[in-house]
This record gives sequence, structure tokens and C-alpha cells, in this order.
Amino acid sequence: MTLKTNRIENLDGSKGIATDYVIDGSAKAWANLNGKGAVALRDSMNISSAVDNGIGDFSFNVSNAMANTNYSFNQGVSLPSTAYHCFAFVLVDGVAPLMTGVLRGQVKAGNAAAPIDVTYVTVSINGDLA
Amino acid sequence: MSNLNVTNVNGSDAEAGKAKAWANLDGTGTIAMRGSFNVSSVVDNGVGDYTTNLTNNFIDANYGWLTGAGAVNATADVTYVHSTGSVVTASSIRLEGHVNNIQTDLTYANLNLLGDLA
Repeated sequence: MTLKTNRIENLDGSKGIATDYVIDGSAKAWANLNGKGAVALRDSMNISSAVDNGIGDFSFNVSNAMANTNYSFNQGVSLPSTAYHCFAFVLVDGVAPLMTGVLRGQVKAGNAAAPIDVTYVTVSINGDLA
Repeated sequence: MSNLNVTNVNGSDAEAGKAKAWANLDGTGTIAMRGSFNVSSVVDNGVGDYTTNLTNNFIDANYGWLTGAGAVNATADVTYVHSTGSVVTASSIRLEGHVNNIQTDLTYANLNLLGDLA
């Protein structure tokens, strides 16, 4: 069932929002991955699978692809040990381009060249679906 | 139809992709929330160590959490991350701020949580 409206408000009308904000502002995919050992998705939305490409190198395959590669992605990670402080799931030039159906990146520290497996890798994607 | 007044929207992809909670925290000094949604409180556990408590819980601890971090006078890396002391539950999430390889209070400790509420 499709419901068409320009605006959604709560019952008393004290708060409301144009539906464009709901549509364009909602994440179109997200994932919470255990990136250590046998990698496994804890939970996800619009993600068909996660691929372990090597140490600290993961791909998230999107079930319903994005319209283009101009989408926004956000991330969260865990530190591998107390020896590290600054980690992030980042795109690495030369490893893989951003694709409409795949988000691939590596978990890296600011001061270490090699990627590292970590317990939590979380991502979200905002943009237009194809 | 121009306006639709409802209490809940269930079973749609838009619902699954909407942030169920978010927070913009000033984590320095006496910590203070700049803005938030579905967050009941944030506890300062020590330097660069914050627990965000939710008003309405998730169904489990497997939800997605995305972070943003900012710090004053940071000349190198700034992150808001899950670390050895961190705990993720359906009702709260404890994360740490790290700046220049030292656990540090963050000027901006931002969170965005995605998943299914209980």
C-alpha cells in the first residue's frame, strides 16, 4: 500500500515534517559487523552480505543498490587494543572504488599502515536508491 | 492530501532507516547535551568516557551506531570509538574519546543509532 502525503505530523499537530526529509533523511542501508575471526553481521538493513577481503578489509554488499556513487556513508569502529587510539573504517584509494552496490573499506589507524580486524565495524548509507 | 497526522509508522523501509536516537554532546568539563533525541541522559565515567542512556530501548544490542568527534587543539587523530571499557546494551552505549593517541574529553561526541526499538 502506498500512502502519499507531503507532510507528517504527530496527532496534536505540535510537531511535523515534510515527507521529503523523512525520505531523503532516512538511511537506506546500515550494518553492524563483527569483523574479528569469522566475520558475521550482527544486524543490518538492506545489506545482503559482508565480505572479509583480508585483515581489516571488508565489503558490504547492498541488496537494493544506490542510484549512484554520490551517497554518504558513516562509520563506527572499535579499537583492537589499548595500544591503539584512533581508528576508522575508511575508503582507501587504489583498493576499490565506491560502487552503487558495494561499500568497501579498511579499518585503519592514523599512525599504522596495515589494516586491522576489530570487533565492531558499523556503517550507514544515505542517498537515493536506484 | 497535504498533512498526515499519526502516532506510529510501522513496516516501511523508511522506518528501518530512520535514526532511533541521536545525540550531540559537549564532553568537556561538566558535560552537556547540545541536542538529542530518545536519549534520557549521558553519564561522564571519566576522561573521554561516556555512557549514553536511551529513553526507549532497542530490541537487542545489535543496532548500528555511527559516531562523529571533535576536539579543541587536536593536531592529529580524533575519534569517538568502542574500546576496551565500552559496553553496548539495548538500553545504553558506552564509548570513548581519543585524541592524539590519548583518551581525552571531546568537545563534540556525536552519536546516531539505527535499528529496531523494543
